[in-house]
Amino acid sequence: MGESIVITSGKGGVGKTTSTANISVALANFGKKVVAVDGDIGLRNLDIILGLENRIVYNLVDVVKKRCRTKQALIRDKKNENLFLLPASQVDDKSAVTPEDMKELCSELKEEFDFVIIDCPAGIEQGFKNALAGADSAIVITTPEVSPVRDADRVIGLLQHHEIPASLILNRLSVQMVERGDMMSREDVEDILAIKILGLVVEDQEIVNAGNLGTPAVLNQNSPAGQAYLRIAQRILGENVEIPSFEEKKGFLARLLGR
Amino acid sequence: MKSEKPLVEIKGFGGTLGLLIDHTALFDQVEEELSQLLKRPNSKNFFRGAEIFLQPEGRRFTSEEFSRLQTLLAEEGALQLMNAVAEIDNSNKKNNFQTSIVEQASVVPEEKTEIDHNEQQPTPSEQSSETLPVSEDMVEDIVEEVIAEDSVKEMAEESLENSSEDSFFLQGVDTTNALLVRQTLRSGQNIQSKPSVVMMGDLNAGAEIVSEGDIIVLGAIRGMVHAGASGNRNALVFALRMQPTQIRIAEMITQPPAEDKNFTSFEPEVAFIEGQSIVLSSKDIKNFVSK
Repeated sequence: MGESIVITSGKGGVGKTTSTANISVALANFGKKVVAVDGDIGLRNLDIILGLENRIVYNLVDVVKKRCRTKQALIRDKKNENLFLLPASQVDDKSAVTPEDMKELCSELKEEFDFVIIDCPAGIEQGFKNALAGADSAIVITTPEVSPVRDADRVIGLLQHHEIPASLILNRLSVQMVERGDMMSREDVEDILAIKILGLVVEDQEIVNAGNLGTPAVLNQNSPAGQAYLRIAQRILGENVEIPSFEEKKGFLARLLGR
Repeated sequence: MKSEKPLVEIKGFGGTLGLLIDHTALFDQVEEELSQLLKRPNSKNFFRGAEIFLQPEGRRFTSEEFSRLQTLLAEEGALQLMNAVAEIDNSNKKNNFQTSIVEQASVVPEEKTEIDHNEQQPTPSEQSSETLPVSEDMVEDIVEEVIAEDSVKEMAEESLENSSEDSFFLQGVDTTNALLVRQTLRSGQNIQSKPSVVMMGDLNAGAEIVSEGDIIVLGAIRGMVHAGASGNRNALVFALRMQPTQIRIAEMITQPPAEDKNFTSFEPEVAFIEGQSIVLSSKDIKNFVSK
């Protein structure tokens, strides 16, 4: 019996889909059987980030409406045979699926896979409720800015209400900006949100390139953000991997960028 | 799966009725058990017209579920479900308590509500000895007792008297009673309470507490608080770390001054009405508590 994890944030554009893709690829690289489920029905993106867009035949809505078997809708990754994608439908909207459908789907997938990673849409409406329904735990993504943190706080409250344990990824941390005092630090965010931090991901150009190319940055050894996602995956697997402290990270970055 | 403890309990908390619902209960179970409880002979006469407060340490409800409970209690028990830590999904606020406050607030003259943070900061030597004189007294005030069924009627009548008498809360802060909250209140969550609120945890930005009495937060206030919501100008707000988006006391509103970047240290502060404005002070805590 596998584990289902929903990746959510409340706010849009903070890196839910990117994180879903990178964490899924990393877990698969560690030998786990993983399915990445795109919960953003009507605005699908996960297939693009994973570079699997042109292989889609059936989608999540087809599975839920019993228009195909679940296996038919699953797309195997080009590089990693442990990784599968269950794409969202682009023509339907969030109301095409109910929380009960998602619960049923997730428990079916959990029998087959070690990890079911669900990419949640932005917002806290129907799509959010659907994505949550089948999840055993949640990873909340936020960037160190006031409004994403506010939305993350709201989402954490809702997750607690549904009794789903949550941990936090602080994404797109800019070392230079924190040093200048222009950006919230890890400590500031931890103080407000008061939940366990699963990982810090620094701002990284590679993420943008990787997203456009459809090859998640986690495969790139020269991408600090990709390496951060690898460590996050190790922590999900229960390994005790330290979160590099700020100074170390700075040294790491400085070496890397030659500063 | 039947546990020994009932899923739904009606208890007395100081002078008011409380509805305590088990964390594990499904909503259907809650509805069924509650209506069973209310269908007991004489229940309706017992409780008629009384206000009942949803206890925040129990199960939480969405606003939709909360209004269904409200309807059930009103129809079958003639009870008014007043106070909740409810998730507000949309604009689905059934509680007219909230609306009346907003109306009140909108008539406040703005120029009178300015506060100056710097002016209220004591020098370090003045504040060192009085960090937390509040906690013990306040905690003792929190009466939490389970009452026998016989005395339920008494309680209900008492609470009925209170609610029919408009001036009751204007006479001063009710010190016999408080709502104890032990959690972080996050954005979108709110508490509305007739008695004073004592909270252990942070009140985050986007969260709200509205109370007819005092609001004491043993943590940070980052959100909105409204003390003395029914017009009690003697009500106060206390926090270990005062960073509110807004403080309201009775009919007055204030907002903190524009953020001072160099201002980093926080100390316990109390907010109260002085003359025509809300002031914040860390010096007067002792005076207020002994009042």
